[in-house]
Amino acid sequence: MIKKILVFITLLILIMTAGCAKQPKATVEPTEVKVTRVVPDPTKPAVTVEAAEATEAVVEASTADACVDCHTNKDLLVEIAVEPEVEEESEGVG
Amino acid sequence: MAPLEPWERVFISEDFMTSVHGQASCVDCHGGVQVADKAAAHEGLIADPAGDPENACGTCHGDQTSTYVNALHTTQAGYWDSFVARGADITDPALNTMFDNHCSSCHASCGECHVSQPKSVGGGLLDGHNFVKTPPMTRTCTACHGSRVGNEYMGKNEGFVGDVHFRSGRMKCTDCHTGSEMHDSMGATNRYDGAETPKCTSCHAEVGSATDTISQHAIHQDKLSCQVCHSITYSSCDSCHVSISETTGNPKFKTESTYFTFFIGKNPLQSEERPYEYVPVRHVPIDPESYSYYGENLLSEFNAATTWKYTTPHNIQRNTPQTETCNACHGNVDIFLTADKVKPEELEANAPVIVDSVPAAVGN
Repeated sequence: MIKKILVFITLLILIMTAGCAKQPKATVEPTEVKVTRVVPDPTKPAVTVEAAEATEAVVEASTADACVDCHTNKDLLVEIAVEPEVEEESEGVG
Repeated sequence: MAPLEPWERVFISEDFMTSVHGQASCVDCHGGVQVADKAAAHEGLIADPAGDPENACGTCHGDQTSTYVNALHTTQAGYWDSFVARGADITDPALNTMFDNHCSSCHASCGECHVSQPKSVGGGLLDGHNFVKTPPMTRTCTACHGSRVGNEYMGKNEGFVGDVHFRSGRMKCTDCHTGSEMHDSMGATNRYDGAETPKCTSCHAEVGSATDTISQHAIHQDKLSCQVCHSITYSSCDSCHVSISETTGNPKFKTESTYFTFFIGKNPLQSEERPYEYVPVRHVPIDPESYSYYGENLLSEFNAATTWKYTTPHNIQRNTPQTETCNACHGNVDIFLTADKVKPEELEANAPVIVDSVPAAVGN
């Protein structure tokens, strides 16, 4: 009986070790960690270190960021941005 | 300086979003509200967070902000220095209102050099909100210092070539006026206070040395500032009057006249750092009534400061009319600021710079 238990425990350890070894390394790499960071904070335009993912992250962030939504949208700004008031009555060299 | 389209002034580029400064939330620095409605979103907006440099920038750039809060571009001490020199009471509310309306826009925050164009020329982001380490010359430096220094330097005064450092070297303002100088005025109360920085001899170290082949350098070294021989005609201005527009309510000014001069005057700031006996002098656009819209007699001792000021024209040339012959200056009354060239009502004020006796002509 003890032998059977020892064999069972040994098998269990072997299976767990094999399972861990098969875990994708990406779980501890920065890429995945940073992608998960992107979603929850609507106030921060999160980005990743890698350029390709950075674009994706920015797009995601911008959907939750009203400032960035407008200020990165040239077509929208062309419609709504206004000229600053310019003082035109001064005469001579300033 | 080409004007920016309205959209361009506030457009944020994608690459800013991936930059270090782009990692902060917009509202962290600018306030405002994260909502889609434009008016509501801009409620409480801080357009220039660097107006509070130590909080906005100092966390990371403390070395710069710790001195910049006392630098001339921040304090505008040069203005106050000249008010005080003319007897102004700096606690006078009328003077302070005038200053706030007309002078304070020349203040330059960190952001007005490194992120946007200065407010005094309408603002607008320099590069999609990216932070620019070295401010671009024509969009920041000469945007403010344009009508005199910028025009001289880049040869925009009709009939007069630009500075050799610009024409031949395409040197930018920051090549001489370094970040250290801009960020730390070392306690100076105006731009000619304290050490002479930058100094021509920092680059032209041979001038006046034993190996210098130009004997005139040694002869004139402590008598003349470099600009006396190496600058050319520059602009002077008269009588700037400030007021508030009756139609728009905005501050406005009117300068009576602008004209080209080259006059050598006595050095009113003679010191160990500036030992020169003679320097070029430029008329600044001040008169006793410049601020009279705001109150009577705000410059109660107008004659206590000169209206022809020590100047360092930014139009340096190797060869100038002055370097042609000794008698281009010696014995040449026309090139010196003599009493007959000063308005009668300004004679008393300019006594320290007026040349009474022109150096005698020399035999060639």
